Amino acid sequence: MHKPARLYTGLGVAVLVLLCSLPASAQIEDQISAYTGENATGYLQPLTDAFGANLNDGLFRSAHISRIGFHIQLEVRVMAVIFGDEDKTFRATAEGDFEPLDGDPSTLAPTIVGSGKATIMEGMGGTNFAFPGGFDLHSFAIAAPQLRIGSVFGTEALIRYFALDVSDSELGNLSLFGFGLRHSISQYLGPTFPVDIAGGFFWQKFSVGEDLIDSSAFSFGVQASKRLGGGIVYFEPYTGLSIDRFSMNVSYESEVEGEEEGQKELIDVDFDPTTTAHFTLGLGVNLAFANIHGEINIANMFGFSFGIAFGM
Amino acid sequence: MKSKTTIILVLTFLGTMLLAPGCIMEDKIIELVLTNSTCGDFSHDDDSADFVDDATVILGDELDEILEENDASREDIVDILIVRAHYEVTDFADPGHDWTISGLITVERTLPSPDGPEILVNYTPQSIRAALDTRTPVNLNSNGIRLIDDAIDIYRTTEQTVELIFRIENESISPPIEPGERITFNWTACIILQVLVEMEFEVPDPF
Repeated sequence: MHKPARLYTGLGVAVLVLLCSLPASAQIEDQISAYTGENATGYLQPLTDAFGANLNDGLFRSAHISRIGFHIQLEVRVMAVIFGDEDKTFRATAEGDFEPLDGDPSTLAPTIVGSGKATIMEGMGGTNFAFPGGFDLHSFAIAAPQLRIGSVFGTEALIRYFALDVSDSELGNLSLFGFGLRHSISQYLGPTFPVDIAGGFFWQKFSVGEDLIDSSAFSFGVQASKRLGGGIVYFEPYTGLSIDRFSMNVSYESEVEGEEEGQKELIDVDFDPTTTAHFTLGLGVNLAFANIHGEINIANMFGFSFGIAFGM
Repeated sequence: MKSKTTIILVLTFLGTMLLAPGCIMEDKIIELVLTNSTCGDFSHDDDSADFVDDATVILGDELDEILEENDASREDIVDILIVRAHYEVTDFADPGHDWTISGLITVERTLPSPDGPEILVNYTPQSIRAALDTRTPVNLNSNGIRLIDDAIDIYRTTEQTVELIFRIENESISPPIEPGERITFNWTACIILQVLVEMEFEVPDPF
């Protein structure tokens, strides 16, 4: 029986740490026990896509970067995606030596975000194969703290960092680290240029345990914004266009079906790296001592993000 | 006044951001699939071709164990499916040549009430060397599956012990066993079951 416990506990704890609470990690472990290899990839793909999309959201909220002058701001961002119908099913293949009645071993089965009902395929001689149900999710969200520091010659840095030792759950360490730079382009376009423009990149690495979950995200692009109003309270619509790349690998030990108790094999699930264009449209409101902001994101998935920033 | 409005706006925003998305949990009813191997071990040491070996399996023991491991109970079971079967020779006292065997594996219910025996597998013909340490898939016979399905129904609906006997009834061996020779090997036959259980979980689905 395949029981990739650490993998799914890992995903569960990742969401726990980055959002609020554990999304039934043990249940995910149960669900995937029927799957290995290709099916595991297809089953988890929407969650992986959502995770990649969320990581590449929330990287900016303005294109205005002063040429010189110290500023430091602590931000908390919530990034979310909404799942579409196309994310709810995948083409699954019956595993092992199962012989389907109609000779076709593949069928549409729920992904991890799909219907909770299992799909059953009939086989020869009265046998059957069940594809597990999903968690019937409409959305997926993560939250991350980040620090914005600037500026030197119109350049600012953004750092995302989170680390937690969850060795009690046999996962080891969990960490999210991201670093990026943005540079003001509008400073070269003269003071009469009507909008602020900036460009930059951001790299992130998220890992759980030793090689259990290893993912990285990279985004580079340009942003534009316009401050409306004066003083310390103003509105600032912003937009951005970027190219995002996300890759993820998970590996876990699994008990082998029909073998002696405790015998393990290594299952390696490598998700194909994805490269997508990413369009952002948002609005920030600067208040006396904080900035609140929200945006929509159109990339390989539709998402939105909002957050708050404190600092000077 | 302005600062009061600002504070209210920020607190409202913080409340929405930290409480609403993070902690909105929804109850979802999900069908889990738990996979189980029910295996019988046979030891054979004989000098005749038409040997018979038995293995007794208490059906509920392993199923109860897998349910317990997953915090489920018999009441949560939606269905138990027979997926496939395989056998494997685990040990062979090789006399310097191979044997090919042909015969049947039957299944019989002895508890709580008798049923069968019915043919579950025809193995015709099978090289012992070829099956050594090799999981060999088999075609299951619908009569044997019907008997196991009935036994599963008894397991699901009663608290009674369900006992099955898997019996190998060998019919021929090639080449014939020479005088003074013995055919000695161990093998294991496994049926793979999937247990569908319906459970309610609280999962984050913030938007």
